[in-house]
Formats: sequence, C-alpha cells, structure tokens
Amino acid sequence: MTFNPQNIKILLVEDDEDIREMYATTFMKKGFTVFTAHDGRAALEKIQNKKPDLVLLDIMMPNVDGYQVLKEVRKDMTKYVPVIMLTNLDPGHFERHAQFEDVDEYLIKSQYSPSEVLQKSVEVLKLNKRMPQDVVI
Amino acid sequence: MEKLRSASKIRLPKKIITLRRGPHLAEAASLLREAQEAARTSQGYFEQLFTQSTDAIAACDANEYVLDVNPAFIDFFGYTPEEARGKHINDLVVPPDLVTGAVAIANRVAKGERSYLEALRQHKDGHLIPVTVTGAPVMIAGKRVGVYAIYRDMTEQKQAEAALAKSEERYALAMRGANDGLWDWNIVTGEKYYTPRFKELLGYHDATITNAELQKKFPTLLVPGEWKRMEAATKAHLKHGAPYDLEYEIILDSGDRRWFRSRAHAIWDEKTGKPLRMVGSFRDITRRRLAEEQLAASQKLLQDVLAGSPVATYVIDLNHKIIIWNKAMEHLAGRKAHQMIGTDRHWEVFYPEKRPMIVDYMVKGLATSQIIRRHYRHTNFSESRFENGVVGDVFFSGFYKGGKWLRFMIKPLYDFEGRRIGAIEMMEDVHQQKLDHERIHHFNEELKVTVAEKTRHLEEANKHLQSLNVLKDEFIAVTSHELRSPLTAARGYLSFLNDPETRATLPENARQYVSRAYNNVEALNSLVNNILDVSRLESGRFTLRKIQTNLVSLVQNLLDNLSISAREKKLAVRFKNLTGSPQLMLPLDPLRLHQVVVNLLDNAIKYSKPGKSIWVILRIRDSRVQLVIKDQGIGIPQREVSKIFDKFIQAKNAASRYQGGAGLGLFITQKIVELHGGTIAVQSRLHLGTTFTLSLPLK
Repeated sequence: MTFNPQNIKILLVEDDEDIREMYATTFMKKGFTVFTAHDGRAALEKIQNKKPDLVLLDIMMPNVDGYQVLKEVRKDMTKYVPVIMLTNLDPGHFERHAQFEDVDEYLIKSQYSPSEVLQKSVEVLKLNKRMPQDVVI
Repeated sequence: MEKLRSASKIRLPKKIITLRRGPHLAEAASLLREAQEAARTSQGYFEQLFTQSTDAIAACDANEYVLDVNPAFIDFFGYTPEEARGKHINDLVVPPDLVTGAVAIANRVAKGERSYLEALRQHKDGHLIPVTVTGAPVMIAGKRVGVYAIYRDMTEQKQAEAALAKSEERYALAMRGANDGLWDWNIVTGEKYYTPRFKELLGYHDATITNAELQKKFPTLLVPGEWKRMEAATKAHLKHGAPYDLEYEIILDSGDRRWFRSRAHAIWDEKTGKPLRMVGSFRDITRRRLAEEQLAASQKLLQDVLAGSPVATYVIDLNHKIIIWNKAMEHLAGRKAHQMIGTDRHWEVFYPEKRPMIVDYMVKGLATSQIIRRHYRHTNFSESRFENGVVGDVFFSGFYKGGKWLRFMIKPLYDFEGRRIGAIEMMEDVHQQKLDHERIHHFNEELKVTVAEKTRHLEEANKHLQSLNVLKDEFIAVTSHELRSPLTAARGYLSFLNDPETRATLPENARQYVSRAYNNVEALNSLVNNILDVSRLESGRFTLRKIQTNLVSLVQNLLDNLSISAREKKLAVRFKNLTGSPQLMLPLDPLRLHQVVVNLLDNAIKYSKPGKSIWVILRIRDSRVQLVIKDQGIGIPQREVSKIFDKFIQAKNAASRYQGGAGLGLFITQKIVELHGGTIAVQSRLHLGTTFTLSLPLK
C-alpha cells in the first residue's frame, strides 16, 4: 500500500490566526489532513473527536492553555498522542510548568521556518510509526 | 594449839555438861565415856573450823587478851600466833582512832551478848581493812570465860557488792554504758580496781598491767595539768558532794590522743560520814569531741563567712532567738547586731506589728506554700521542697519609704544528726534591679512591637520584591512571546516567498525585495533572541536541558542547512571528523549547542571573502572534544581579540564594515559553552583569518 499523506491527521493548536494559517498552508501543501483549534478547550475536543496523529501545540492561549491541554492528553495512559510544543515561550518557562519527557519535540516558532517545523513533524511521525521511514516529504 | 584445845574443851555442848548426873557409878562412868567421846568429836569439828575458816578468828580470855589466832587471822592481819598471843586484841587490830568503837563492842560482849558491826581494822603494816566484826562470848556455867573475835574481809568484790546493794541506783548509773570502763577506788586502802575494759580503753590488755601499775601510771597519761583538775574535782566530790563529771584528754602509749569522760560517785560511811569508796565510769568520747571541735570550727567558719558576706544574713535558733546578725544585715535593716542578737525581734525590721516570718515557720518545720503565699502576697518564689529552703522575691511595703523588693533565701539548719536547730535567712536588695528589670521588660515589649512592625514591613517589601521578580520573569516570558509572534508570522510568510519555487514566479525586483525583507527579519529575529538570552543569562535563569546528543550528526545537519547562505558567497565549507567514530554521544543541550555552532559558522561566513574556505574540524584532545571552526576571513586586530566575548562588542574592523548584529552572539556563545563545562578560545591574524576552538568535556 502506497503512502498517502491524507491519512495523517495533524491538529494545529494556535490562537494567532496568521500563524495558524501559515502552518496549515505548509502542511496542506504536502497533502496532510489538517485540523485547527484556536484555544485549549477546542483542542481537547478535537483530540477527542478527530484522533490526530500529531498535535502541534501552542502554550499561550486564551481559556485553557497548552500546559493544561498537555496535562489532560497525558492523563490517558491507554493511548499516546505525539505532541510537538510549538511556542515562542523559552524552554525555561516550559520547564517550570511541565516536563520535557511529556513532549516529542519542543520548538521555538521564531527560530524555525515553517518548512523546518514540517521536517521536525515528519521526524516525530516516523519515530511514532505514524508514517513509513522511507517516505520523503 | 594446846591452849586452843583447852579452850575448845571449855565449849562443851551444854547438854553433856549439864545432864546425866546419874545415880549409878557404872552408868555414870559409861556416861562420862560417852561425854568424853562426844567432846572429842566436837573438838575435832571445832579444830577444823578454826583452822580452815576464811574468817580471821582470835580466841581471847575474859579480859580480851589473845589466847590463840587461826591461819586466816595470820594472813589477814599479818601477825604470827607468837606475836599475837598475850596481847590485848584491841592493841593488835584496832586503829588508834577507832578504839572507842571497839570498846563498845567489848562492853556488849562482856554482858554476854553477841555483837556484830562493820568497821575498819588495821593490818600489822598499818593499812586499813574494812571488815565485819563479830564478838561472841564463851560462857561456861553462866559465867563468861572468854571471847571469840571473828573478822570477815569486806574489801574489793564483797565491798563492791555491798555498795551495790546499798546504793544500787548510783552504782547502776556508774555502770551505764556497756562500753564504759569502770574503776573502783577503795578510799580506805587507797587501792584502785580497774575493769579489763578500762585498761582496754587506755590501750592495755588486762593481763599485761596490774591495777597497782595502772594506778601509778594513770596520772602520767594525762595531758599536763589535768591531774590537778581531777584531784580538785575528786576533793570537791568527796567533801561537798559536788558532781564528778570530767572530760579530759589522754595520751596513749601509742601516741594517740583520746578524749574520755569520767563520771563517779563516792560511798560514804553512813555513821561517820567518811568516804569509803569511789566508783566511776570511763568512756571514750574522742569521736564526739572531734565532732564538736569540727562543729565549733565550722560554726566559726560560718560566722566569719557570714560576717564578711555582702549578703544580709541572720540566723535564728529553735527558740526564734537571733544568734547571727551580720554587717550587711545591719546595713540593710538599720539595726545593730548587739541590739538584735538574743532577741526574737527580727520581725521589727519588716513589719509594724509582731508576726511570724518564713524563718519562724521554717524553724518549726511548718513552712508550706500556702503559708508562704498567705503571708507574702507579693511574693514570687521558686516552689520546691521547703525542707531544702525557699528562694523568692518579696515586696515589703513597710520597708523603707514606699516599700522595697527583696530577694530572700531561707533555709532550715540541721545538726549532724539531722535535727533542726534553727533557720537562716539571706536577703538582697533587688529593688533597683526589679525596677530596671521592669524598665527593660517594658523597653523589650516596645522593641518587640517595633521589630514586629519592621519585620512586617520587610516581609511586605520582600513579598513585593518577590512578586516583582515573578513579574519580571513573566515580563521576559511575555515579551519574548509577544516579540516573537509577529516575527514568526513575518519570517514564515517571507520564507514562502523565498522558497525557490515561488521565488521563480516572482519578477526580478520583487525577488530582490523579498530577499532584503527576509534578511532583515532574520537579523531582527536573531537580535530579539540574543537580547532575551542575555537577560536570562544575567538573571541566572538560563537553564540547560542536557540530553545525550550525537555531536557529529548535530554539526552535519547544521552544515547541510547552512549551505544555502554559504553558497551565495561561494564559500567552501569543509567538515573533517577526526574523532574516528561516526557517533559522538555527549550530554548536551542540543538546541543551545546548535545555537553556538550556528553563531560561530554565521560569523565565519559573515566575515569571509567570497570564494574562500571554511574548515569545521571535530577532534579529541586531552580527553576533551574539540570543535574547530577556521576561516580565511578579515581577522581580528590583536588588541581586540581579548574583548570579543564581551557584551555589545564588535571588532572595530567589523563595525567599520557593518555586518549587522548587536555584538551579543559571542557573549552568549561563551556563556553557553561555559554552562556545559567547556571553554572557547580564539586565534586570529588580521587579514588572514580567525580560528575558534570549542572544548567540551566527554562526560
């Protein structure tokens, strides 16, 4: 069976519309199925309903923030959802609220271009066996 | 013995002599034989009695001239029968001054009466012997034909027994104390008898010293002068009945000095009033004397100590009488010792009317906490066992003007045997001390309030500072977030335009604009990131997230991504891995080390002229990993080299050919390397190039 990126569901959790659109465009251009959430509450709902293969999670959001989303997601021990923290908060801030072991990757948005973020995401998906190793995106 | 025999004949049984004057001759002859027989038997009895009696017996004629004496008489009075015979009995044994008494006996005997009395008789050598004298007439046919004088010895034991019988109570007194030695002085003979215990007390054994020897020796054992005192006491006792009770010191042969108590009573002749004997007890009182001496010494010491003590002290005895009132007490109470000692007026000092004080309760063993509290309402005292005394502070309202605080210590006093003998009270004027203490207490309270207030202010200030600190952290976090967010979007969308595919669709000038916009956004991005890093480094909140990282692939990936900008300048970037292994796992913060290497490579590219080469070399030196980045760029002037790691520094040369950047990169680079436990060194030659050497520990 040949690989179809459409089978990979990416959930983008980002309150800034410009940035959300930017990453959505990047992933959709490569054929991934992309869902978006503009805050933590919506994110938790979509994680429940859409069962994404990867969550790109911002931290500073209205209502429910990224830390709480991560905490809720990791509460369920029966299934593992790969999470990449994609934020402009520095790692020191993250470390005061959560553990790096709980995330698959921690990326500072401003330091990575959208295409670099895509590449990191593909690495994480491959590591989690969500897509074949030999596929080049 | 002839005389004796004839004398014995005289004393035929009356029956034989007066009866049996029978009518028949033969019968008479027979009776006479019987009588003679009986007489012979009787004579034998008498003879034995006479010779073997322990009583001295003198047989005298009617005029009391001695006819014969028995062996006991010889022993007793010292006269031989030859010396005695023919002498008047009174001349022989009656002392000249007692002849009247003897004559009285003779008169009674002369009347044919038996006579008995206790008297003194004289030995041939002159010494007097207490005796009982029995005078018995010898009567034949109603006519007195002679006299027997019988003497019984009453000296020593017998006399003592007699004395005991006579004066049992006094003797018992003398005997009191099983450990006492006893002495018995026969005043008539001058002889003394000492009990074995007496000798033992003086360090002798009964067998080793006779009474006579001890009697002679005794005065020499006494401390000089004591013998005279004893003699005087004896004389006073014998003459006036003054009690004889002496304590004196004796030096034993061993050299030990011991104290004895000697008590004695004399026995007087009831009739003559003359002393006959004196019996005494003798007790070793050395221990008691020593104890008394020690007591006296310690009393003296106590008095001396108390006299000089700055603590006001007085002592009362069991009768509440003051026995010590020291100088300090005089001063405190305003009353002199001579006014107080011997009185029970210690209350005067403290109260207007007489009332018992704690000392008085203490003396009686009645001090209890209730008593003390009832009598001293303003008292703070340490409650303990009152038998050991009580300590406390008391306010005497009547003492001085307006009253005074005194600190007292009251303690019962006991003798050696634990009997209460008095009580001591020591006092100290603590009035000023109390006032000072109250003032200090008050001051302390005020101070406490002030300190509490200040502390509260400080705590508030600290809280405020802490909240400010949190605020600052939040500020940095938010600032970084807020600065980065628009940059992210701008950079991201520009990267879409700059993407080779999209770029190819743009007109030439638009491509130029995109490139410039993109480069400036990049510069702004790195500037923002650097400023945030510096702020974190300076606040100590720059933390590493170390994980085992493959340094080879980290460098490799980085070079792959850099190639675009390097290509633009047509630079050859060459990587050499000299470590000998494709994997080099080190505990590193991959993001931060990435930042370091990017920064060094960016510098190398930025300051290199087009067409030149850049070398990136990985090697192991001295158990450390070295990453060498060497360019053929413009180089750094020698005097600037040492400053390039400072903040906001760009080499002048670099500034003059402005390449962008705030000069924070190398400062941050060095800090990150140091946080990894590594070092960074630089070598540079102007116009020839610069080499950065990064050293990291293998573990």
